[in-house]
Amino acid sequence: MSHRLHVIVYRLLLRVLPRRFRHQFGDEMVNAFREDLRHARRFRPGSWSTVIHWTGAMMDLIATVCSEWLPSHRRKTVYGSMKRKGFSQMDISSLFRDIRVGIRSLRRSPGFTALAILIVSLGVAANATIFSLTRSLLWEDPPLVVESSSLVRITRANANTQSGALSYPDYRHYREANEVFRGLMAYEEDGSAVSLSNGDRIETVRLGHVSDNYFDVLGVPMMLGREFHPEEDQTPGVGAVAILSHGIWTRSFGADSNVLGRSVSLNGKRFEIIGVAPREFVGLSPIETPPDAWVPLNMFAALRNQQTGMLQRVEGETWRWLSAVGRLRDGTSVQMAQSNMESLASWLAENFSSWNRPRDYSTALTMTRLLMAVAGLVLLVASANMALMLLARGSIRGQEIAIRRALGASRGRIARQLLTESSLIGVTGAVLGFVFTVWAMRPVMSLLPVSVSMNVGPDLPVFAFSIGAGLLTVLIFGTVPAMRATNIGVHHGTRATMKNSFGRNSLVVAQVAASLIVAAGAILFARSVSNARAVDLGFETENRLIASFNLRNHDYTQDQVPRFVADAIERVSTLPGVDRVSSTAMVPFQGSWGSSFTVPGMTPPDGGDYFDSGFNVVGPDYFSVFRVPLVAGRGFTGDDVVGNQPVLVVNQALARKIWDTEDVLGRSITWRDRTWTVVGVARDGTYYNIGEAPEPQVIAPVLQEPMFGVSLVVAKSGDYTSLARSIGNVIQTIDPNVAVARITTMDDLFLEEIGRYRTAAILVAVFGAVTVLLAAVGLYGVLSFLVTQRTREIGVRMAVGASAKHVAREVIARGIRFAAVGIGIGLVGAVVAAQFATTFLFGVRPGDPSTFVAAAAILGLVAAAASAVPAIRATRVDPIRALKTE
Amino acid sequence: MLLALLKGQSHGYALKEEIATRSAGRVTLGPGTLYRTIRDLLRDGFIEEVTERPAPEDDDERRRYYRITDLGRGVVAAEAQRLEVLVEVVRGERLIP
Repeated sequence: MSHRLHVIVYRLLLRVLPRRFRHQFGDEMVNAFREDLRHARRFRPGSWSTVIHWTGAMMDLIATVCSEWLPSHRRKTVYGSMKRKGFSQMDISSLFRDIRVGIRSLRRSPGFTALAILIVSLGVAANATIFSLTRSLLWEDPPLVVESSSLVRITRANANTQSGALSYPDYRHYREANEVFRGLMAYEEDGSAVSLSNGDRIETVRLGHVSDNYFDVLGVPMMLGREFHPEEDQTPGVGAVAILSHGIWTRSFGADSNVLGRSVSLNGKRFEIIGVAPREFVGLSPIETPPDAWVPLNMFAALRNQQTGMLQRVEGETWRWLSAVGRLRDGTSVQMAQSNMESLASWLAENFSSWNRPRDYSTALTMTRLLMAVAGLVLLVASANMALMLLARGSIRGQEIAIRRALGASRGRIARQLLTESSLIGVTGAVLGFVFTVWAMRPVMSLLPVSVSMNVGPDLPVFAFSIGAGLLTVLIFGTVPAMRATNIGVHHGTRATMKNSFGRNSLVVAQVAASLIVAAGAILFARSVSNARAVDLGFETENRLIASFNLRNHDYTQDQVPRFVADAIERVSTLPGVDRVSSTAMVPFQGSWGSSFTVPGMTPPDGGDYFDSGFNVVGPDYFSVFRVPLVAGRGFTGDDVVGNQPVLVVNQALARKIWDTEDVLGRSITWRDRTWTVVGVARDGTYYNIGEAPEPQVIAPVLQEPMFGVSLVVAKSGDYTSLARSIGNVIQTIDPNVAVARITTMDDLFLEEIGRYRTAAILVAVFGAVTVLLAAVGLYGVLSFLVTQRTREIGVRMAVGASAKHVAREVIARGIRFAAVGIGIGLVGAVVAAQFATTFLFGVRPGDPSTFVAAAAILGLVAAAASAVPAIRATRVDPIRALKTE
Repeated sequence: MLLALLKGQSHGYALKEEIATRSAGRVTLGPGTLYRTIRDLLRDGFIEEVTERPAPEDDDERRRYYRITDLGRGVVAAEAQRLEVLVEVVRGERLIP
């Protein structure tokens, strides 16, 4: 929230103070609030300071409200009471009395109390859940990382690649020549899977290559042992030392504190353990998976047992694989760093940009913004509900208040009593809401479209936020009814009125409008999910297991790959629970693959030298194992090996793109210096993203065109967990050093792909149900109140001949009128709001008319249902009894 | 607050900061408490609002400045004397050095 927004909210809150005081000091108080906020944020940036600041400001405001609304003859000067009576003692004892009276009064109407608490708790829970989510994703420093505000990420600005990563020589250059960083570190962003053997145990671990100053720049201390020394990251292959993560230290080393100095084998090479990182440290971003262990950058080639080929990756300037993060010197601004880096980069044609979040972040970010907006609507509806209930209760209690006034209670005293009651509801509702939040956190986290490694459990700030939100609900919307109730004079007698029907009506209308927006959103998202699920992917996802490994990391040459793959397919096929096995290089939804080739006798339409298309390299029987239909020709067999005629399968899109026909069997293309014959045409499918237009694709057999990255496709009938374990074991019986990097199911990958639609749909549906329910309660409450209030009138009318049907119709019509206005306003809001949610829509337009009609119909039905009960009650009015009370 | 104003005129927020500094952070006043106290002190005539402004370079258009009145000084002195008597009594009982 921006500074200004805080100030505006505070200024609005000041309206609960008496007008005289506000006129005299309002501006100054706002100034003081602003200064305090600025100070607090400078002292400690982040959400914590804001929460603490607001909690203090609210306490101060409540104290001021209480004392200012006290009658002046009873009001002691602040300093006077402090000195003479003991300020705290006097106030606390009278506060306790108010609380006691408040509890007694609330217990007299348990239905009202329970409903009010429930309403507040729902509003609070919705907001506290989203608050803690947002806080962990967007605001907090990564755990243990010191002052992330002075960290700057260096990326290549005009990079076509998505990450903007740096090469190793670039990084060395920047590190040595820059004048703005206290330290500049680099790390390999995704880490790589290697096999770790510790005694007789072999397991796959994720290894992070980092520069020697990685932990130093982040300011993360070691839990055990030491960080890397500079000389351990100077020369390729020298510095076989490793730092363990806390996770693997407990999991595989039994949390042994004597682990330092021991040696483990990574990909068959001995490394000495020199340190253990603290438990809380999870890297720089909550959505990056932290490595199990870290080793120096210069060990990259040695780990792969390759002294030349892979060494290029460290020394070659074109291989960009590093993320670089620097810590600014004191007094250096990002702008200064920018210009310094630009001058250094000019000869490299590199560029520099400020610290930015990793790539998957934008979806999570848009998601939390969307959810924040929806949660805000829930709170709005809950608050409006509270206000309506308190207004109604205030007027029903007119008699009680009038009697108390007559007995000498002052306006301020009564207002204070009513405010205490509201605050009791607010605090209880907030505590209950916090409990709901604790329950809700885990399911909500599991719904997020990215996996979050950071601990986001509800904690103190979330609790403070809940209490704050609860008090805010009752303070904003409880004060006005309280003030209004105290306007009831001694003369008022038993006449209960609820003045200002405009205010009340607008609250009902606002509720309906807000719930319509949320309901329409929920329907749009639900339709997106069902659309996404209905997409024909062109392959089978059910009961298909994917096990990926990369032979490049394990000292294989390209010629050795086919043998290994054939061996793996054969051994995995014999496992119990496995039906059939094949392999693929490209796993659907896991990034895009492109290649280019020429076709004898054809020129590309755009005047270039090559045709571009996607490509894949697959094992024998791939098409039948993955159920990819062939429209012509055949798939690959175990006979399509090096030495035989090179064969390809193309998809329909490619056939049409190049030859303008699907009848292409026997035609040839030149790809990777060989001439390939098309032996099959596969149906178009989804390869990279759900909803994509059919992409042209060539598919080659892995036995003729080996690739290091291999994913086994396993059609299974057995249990996932045991199968996953035995596949890992089988691979290691072929070569103990080859580690399976990832085992997952195609169903999970598909769920991940449609995750964003699913998350939005489920959460917004829950919120939608809550708001519609709240709106129904609000409408019901107001109509019941009106019926109670007009009992006499209805009685008279029935006495002079009005039929029950007539009376009921009138009450329902009133409810429908409220709803109609609300629906009208809500529709406009929903159409506007939907434009901001297009990221989460699939196969449905944001302005989809049928969605809005459906949402309006739901609200209309709910409104009719909510009006029915009061309408029936109205028809049961007994004219005789109604007239008797006159 | 009166002690903080003995140095000379000051505006509300500066008073709050002065009090926080003098009490080593133990007493921090929220905006409401601050201005309620100022209102009461004004009403009782212990402080007054300053109509002439400080030197332009120190001036802040939004702020109102207050200074202690002679009555306020008298109250501070009287209170200090009262406390001094108390302190002497306690010291006489050797509770503090």
